[in-house]
Amino acid sequence: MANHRLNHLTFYGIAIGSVLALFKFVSTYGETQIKAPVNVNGVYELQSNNLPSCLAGQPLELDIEQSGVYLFGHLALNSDKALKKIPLSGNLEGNKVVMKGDLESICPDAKDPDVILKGEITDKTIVGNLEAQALQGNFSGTKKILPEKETGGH
Amino acid sequence: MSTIVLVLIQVLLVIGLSRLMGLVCRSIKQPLVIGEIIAGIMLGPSLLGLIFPQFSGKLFPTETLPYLNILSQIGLIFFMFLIGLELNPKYLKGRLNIAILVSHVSILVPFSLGSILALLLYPLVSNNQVNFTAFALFLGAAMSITAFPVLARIITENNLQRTRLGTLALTCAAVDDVTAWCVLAVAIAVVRTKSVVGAFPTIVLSLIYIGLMVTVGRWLLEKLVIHYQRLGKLNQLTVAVIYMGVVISALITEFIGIHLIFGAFLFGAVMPKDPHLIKELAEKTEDFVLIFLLPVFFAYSGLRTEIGLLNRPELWALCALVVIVAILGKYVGTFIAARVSGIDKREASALGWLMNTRGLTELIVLNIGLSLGVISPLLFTMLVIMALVTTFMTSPLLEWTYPKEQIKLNIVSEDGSDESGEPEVIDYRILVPVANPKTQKGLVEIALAIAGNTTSAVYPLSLLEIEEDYQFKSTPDGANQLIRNQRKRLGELVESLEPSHLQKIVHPIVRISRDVPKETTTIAQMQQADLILVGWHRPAFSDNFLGGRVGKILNSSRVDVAVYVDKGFNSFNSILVAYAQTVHDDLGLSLGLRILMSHPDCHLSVLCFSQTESKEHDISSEVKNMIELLPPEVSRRIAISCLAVNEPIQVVVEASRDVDLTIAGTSRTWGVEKQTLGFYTDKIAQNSHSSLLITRRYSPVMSHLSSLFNSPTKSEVNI
Repeated sequence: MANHRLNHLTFYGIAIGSVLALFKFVSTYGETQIKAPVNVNGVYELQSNNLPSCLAGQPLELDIEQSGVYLFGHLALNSDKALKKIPLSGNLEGNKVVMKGDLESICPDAKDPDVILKGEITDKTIVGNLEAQALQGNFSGTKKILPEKETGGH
Repeated sequence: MSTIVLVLIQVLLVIGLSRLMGLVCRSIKQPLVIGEIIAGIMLGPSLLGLIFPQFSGKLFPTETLPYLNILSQIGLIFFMFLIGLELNPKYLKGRLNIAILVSHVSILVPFSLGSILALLLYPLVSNNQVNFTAFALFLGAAMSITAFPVLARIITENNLQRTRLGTLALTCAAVDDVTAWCVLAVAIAVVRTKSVVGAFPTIVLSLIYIGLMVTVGRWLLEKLVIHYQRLGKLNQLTVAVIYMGVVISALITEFIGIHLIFGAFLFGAVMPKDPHLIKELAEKTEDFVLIFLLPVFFAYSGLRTEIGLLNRPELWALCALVVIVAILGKYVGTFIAARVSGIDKREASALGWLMNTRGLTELIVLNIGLSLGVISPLLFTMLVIMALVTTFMTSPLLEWTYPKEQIKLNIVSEDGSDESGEPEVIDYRILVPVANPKTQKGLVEIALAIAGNTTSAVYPLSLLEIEEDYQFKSTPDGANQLIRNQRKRLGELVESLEPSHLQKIVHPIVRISRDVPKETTTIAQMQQADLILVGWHRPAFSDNFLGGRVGKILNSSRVDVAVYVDKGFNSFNSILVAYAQTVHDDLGLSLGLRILMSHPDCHLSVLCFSQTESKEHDISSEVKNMIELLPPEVSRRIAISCLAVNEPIQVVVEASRDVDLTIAGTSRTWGVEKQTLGFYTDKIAQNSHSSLLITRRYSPVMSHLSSLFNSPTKSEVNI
């Protein structure tokens, strides 16, 4: 019986020890060797020029919802109370953002609804250009400071 | 519209849709939780937000979300308390060595695979604000989760709670639950302090708090239980004290730096398990929490789940990888550990699928991860899909690997009064569904009369329906209490049966069921029943007297069926068989002959109907042969007369005045089309002056008399 218990304890010791060792190795390797993309999450207020008429002359808001290198979000007219948005999705390479979307919700008359947003994010600013309807406009923007998000139960 | 009005409309919609989807899932034999999760997802950006973005934006504006969050967190706290409450230490007693081995391996393997998967996912779906160790810990914990509450309900639904597999799975899941919460608590501590070393004070404080709760907390709660026992009921003051305890415990764990839910769970877990107190407390708490608050939690989770984020094939591939790793880790880990512990392949496989259930518990973990920012919305969505897939697959895979016939073989007898104790040789079996033992004594007595001797067996079958998934009575403990109570009532019924020497052939079966007619026919096949004898009742919403469940059993049974209409006659001294030359009438006559043979004072009249005048008895040749084989002291008590009449029903009704029991087959003569009992049979049932037995034959080769002639096989004599 005592021998049996010893076998069990040895097994648990080895099993748990191995998993802890594996986890230690994985976490050390992960912390030192693997780099996660920079955090670009947030809402950026953009100033731009040379944009299609439906977007021109109004402040734009770029909301980036980041999941690692995969970016999702939308571009919205700051003044639009009807909550019309241009949905965007794209990728992050280093600190370069490339997102594509469809103008239709804001510019229903657009012949070519594709919009491509390219930008470079440094700290809390974004600089880049927006291609839409054969026009290419530059923009720059800064990250809005939002109140801390509610975390579950806290 | 004011925020409160909007929140109330949201809650209304959430509860309605949750119930609706729950019903849909129930109809496809899936746990309610899947319906509720899907309802939540439907209300979020994955469906409503996708189809009607503006309406969705107006219905669930950002400013109302904190209110929904608060409601969902309160719901979660009390739900965790309920989980802790039902975590009975007795689950940890049976086969603890195997359970600890299996549950730990079933955590270690997926945890290891999860942390290795983190190496791939971290650079793809996380960002540099998240610490890798915290990310890997969370992913490992998410992969290791087994949903104890969902698993416990699946076990109850499948009547596995008293099987080797069921008790082992419950023990494993209980150990797994406690261990996984500990891993999660460590993960949260690491996330909040941003390092493993920084988490040590939190871990130490948590251990101290657990120690205090297990000793001082439990001691105080025992005093409360004594107070409850003295009062004999759970008054509002006691409930208030307990709820305050739950909230205080939740706050303490929150201040320590783990999470609110741990305190609530711990409080429930250390609560002394006085069965009456637990039942009463659970019943008082669960309705509001489960009906009102928990769906809000699912909706809140659904609002954060965006299936639309998986908008590229590579992301679906990543999602598939997450699902595969989760399933492989849990199933393979459990299977191997169970096999090493000496459990056979089938059980080990079933245990693997059971432990793979993640359900609601996974959702709790994921929401914490998303709120802390340790997992991204994309990974959150992938893991929600994983939770749905693993929960959805459990029931069908369990049924596939561990069919119900196997469940019967592995019943662990509790007191020997149930399925055990049958004689070795049984040559005739009658299954008698009994809904109410107090009012259906007559039904069991006619079963005894048909059984006739001690080599037969009568199985009064009581199927208990459980409507709700999370209710206390649907937990293994709650279900066992229901089963014990019903078995006690059936035991009292058996003791009152006459003749007393036949009481020993009565073997009650009590089961949990969701579909009574289907389960009845399944059990009839499992028990190799020769006859199902059901009681007649008037359905609430139908004019068809033999409709409802009785009708369903009649139509779906693959065994011969008889329906008994009890008019209160206890003796069987005179029997009338209305014979119209169909196989169903052959069955009726056979049953009449069985009663005749075991009742020396009984007389049997056969009223034979035909469309034309005939001097010959229009009884099938097999029956004739059988009657000829009867001993003279039996055959001389049979009187056969033939009539050619246009209104046989009136004749039968009139003849039933002079007998104790009338037997009629379900045939066209009585207006019966195919297998459906209809208006005319109802008419006989209504107007018959004696008790009535309506018979419907399924198997044309099955003999109901051969056992009485000591025939070695049933097929030798075909009646």
